[in-house]
Amino acid sequence: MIAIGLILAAVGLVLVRLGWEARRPLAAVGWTAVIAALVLLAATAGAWGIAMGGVVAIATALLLVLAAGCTSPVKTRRAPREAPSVSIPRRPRDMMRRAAVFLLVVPVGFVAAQWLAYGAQAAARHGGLGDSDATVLTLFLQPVLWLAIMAVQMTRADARRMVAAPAVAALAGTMLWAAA
Amino acid sequence: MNRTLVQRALGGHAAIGLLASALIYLIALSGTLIVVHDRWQRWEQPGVVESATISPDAAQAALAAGAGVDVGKPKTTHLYLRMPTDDLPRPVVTTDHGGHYVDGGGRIVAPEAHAWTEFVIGLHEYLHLPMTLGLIVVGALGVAVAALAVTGVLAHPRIVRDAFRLRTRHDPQIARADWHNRLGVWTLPFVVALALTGAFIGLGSVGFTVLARAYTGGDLEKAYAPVFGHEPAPNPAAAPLPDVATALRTLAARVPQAVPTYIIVHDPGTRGQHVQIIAEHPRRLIYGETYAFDGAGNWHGANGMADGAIGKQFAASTYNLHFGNYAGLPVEIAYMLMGLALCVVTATGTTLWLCKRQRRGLGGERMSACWSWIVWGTPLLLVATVWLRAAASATAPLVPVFWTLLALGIVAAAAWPRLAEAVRLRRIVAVSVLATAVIHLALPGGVAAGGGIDVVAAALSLAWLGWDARGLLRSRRASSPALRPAGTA
Repeated sequence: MIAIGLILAAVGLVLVRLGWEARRPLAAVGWTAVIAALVLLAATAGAWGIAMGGVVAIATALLLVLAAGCTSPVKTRRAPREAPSVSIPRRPRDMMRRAAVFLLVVPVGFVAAQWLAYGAQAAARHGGLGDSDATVLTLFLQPVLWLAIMAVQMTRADARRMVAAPAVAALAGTMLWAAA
Repeated sequence: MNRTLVQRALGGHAAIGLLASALIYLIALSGTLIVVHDRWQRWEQPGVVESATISPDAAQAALAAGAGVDVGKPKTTHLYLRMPTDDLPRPVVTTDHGGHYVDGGGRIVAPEAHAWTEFVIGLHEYLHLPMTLGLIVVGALGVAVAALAVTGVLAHPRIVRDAFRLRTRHDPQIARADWHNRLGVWTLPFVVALALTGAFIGLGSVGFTVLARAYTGGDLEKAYAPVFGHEPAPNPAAAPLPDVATALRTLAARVPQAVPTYIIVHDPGTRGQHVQIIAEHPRRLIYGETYAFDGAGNWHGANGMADGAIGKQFAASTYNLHFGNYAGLPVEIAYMLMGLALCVVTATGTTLWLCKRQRRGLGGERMSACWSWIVWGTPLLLVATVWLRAAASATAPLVPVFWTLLALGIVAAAAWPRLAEAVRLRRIVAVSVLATAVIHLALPGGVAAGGGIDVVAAALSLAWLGWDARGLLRSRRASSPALRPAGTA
């Protein structure tokens, strides 16, 4: 069953490639095959099976992309002269703004995520979750929550709007801790 | 998705990348190499007697031999026996004062002296900073990588339309953007899984410290206990070494599918000593189950990593998922290729930003040279440290030499940008890798201990040099009318 799952994951990606651009239904069949393969592998071999299916699917996709690169036609068209999406700060005001962004995203975001993770585990522990699960919940949630806060912050237009995400996280952490 | 969000995401993506790309590149490159760190260890120390198996009695003898080596030194608090595996068919006995290889009979055959492998592992795990601080910094960079993946997807509105478009032979900037986007998109699940498991491991010390302050009066060992198990109370009164042979036989009888990988003796030679055997379970993502025994080798049960609380199973699974060592060499090779893809994504990302600046007339020649030195100077220095290790033994100062040369290289590139031309640097890297592989193959025991690494490294560097020479020839033909085929303009 494991071999079938791994083959299905690879075949699914090949179908996605064949259906790309022109034959959309084939691509849909391909994605369905990949999902079915991961479900089959999960049922047969748990987390190990999902990891194996993921590796096979990604490796297949990379091979298909590299194959596309090998057959790519030669063209001399120049890339458009786009402006770089961020510039190097030169004025003191710009540097201050960058420093504020760094403080909000790195230490403030980190602490807010840690506090929310701690509040969540306190609430979960209060709700009857065991010691082991509550401990791992804290460790797992911290980077995931920090990632979420960072992603929200880095898609805001300016530093002022980057305050909301860690503030909401800290408030939620406090409420969960208080409820525990 | 509105255009503004795409632009903001691209800005955020570039800002994180510029802040962290050099360190991310160092971590990605060293991580790619150490997927097969056991094979590097063999490669670094060829000629050591190997043994694919070790019997329970030989394991007992090995631990006694390991403890005996430390005569005259402070008493070790732990005694480890690493069991032989396919990747490293050498049992290793380790105390607080160092490790030694042992043969199949449990006799010490050579000191463990894989300084270069340890140096690369240290670069990946904690950037050679003090351990705890370094783990936190690397963990934070893991979150930054995951954030780069998320903002990268948000900044890529044509993610489906371009899924298989890799225009390698277009304008270099278009080709670079395609490499960056295609490899970035298709390795996304791998990169996010690796980044978050790395962050989980790296930032774990902070989480445990917070929990210890809240629940165990600051006692970290008690905070670790719910996941990694409790330790019995110590008793320093002298006692003979524990009966590990009996413990191994008991484990084989009770859990026949378990494959022991580590034996750990806590407080060896005391009445409070106890034994943990870590054993892999086939087709599981967990790094292993921990089985506990007392000094007489009596069974005290399993910690529950294999079938206990879901939190324990989850924690035990993050390590192998990150290291890629859960299904042998094929998955390790796949991890190395995907790690290499992450290196390409990181390198091309910053290069794209630099190219855009240059094309807009904003300068940046010196910055480009510095970035070239990071991208190509790092592998060159990794090869240089191999040579230093070979020439000056395992005590060579690899860490200060690496970081000093990396820093000096950046200064030199900023001062004289032509010194760090990417084309020239990558040729030097390819030649140095080829020379290292060929010379290693010629060493006594070099073929048996890591000859595969040499063959792959030599083949890749030859292919690289061949491809480079072909490109050089083409560009010369294009620029020289005398060499141009008749009839072409």
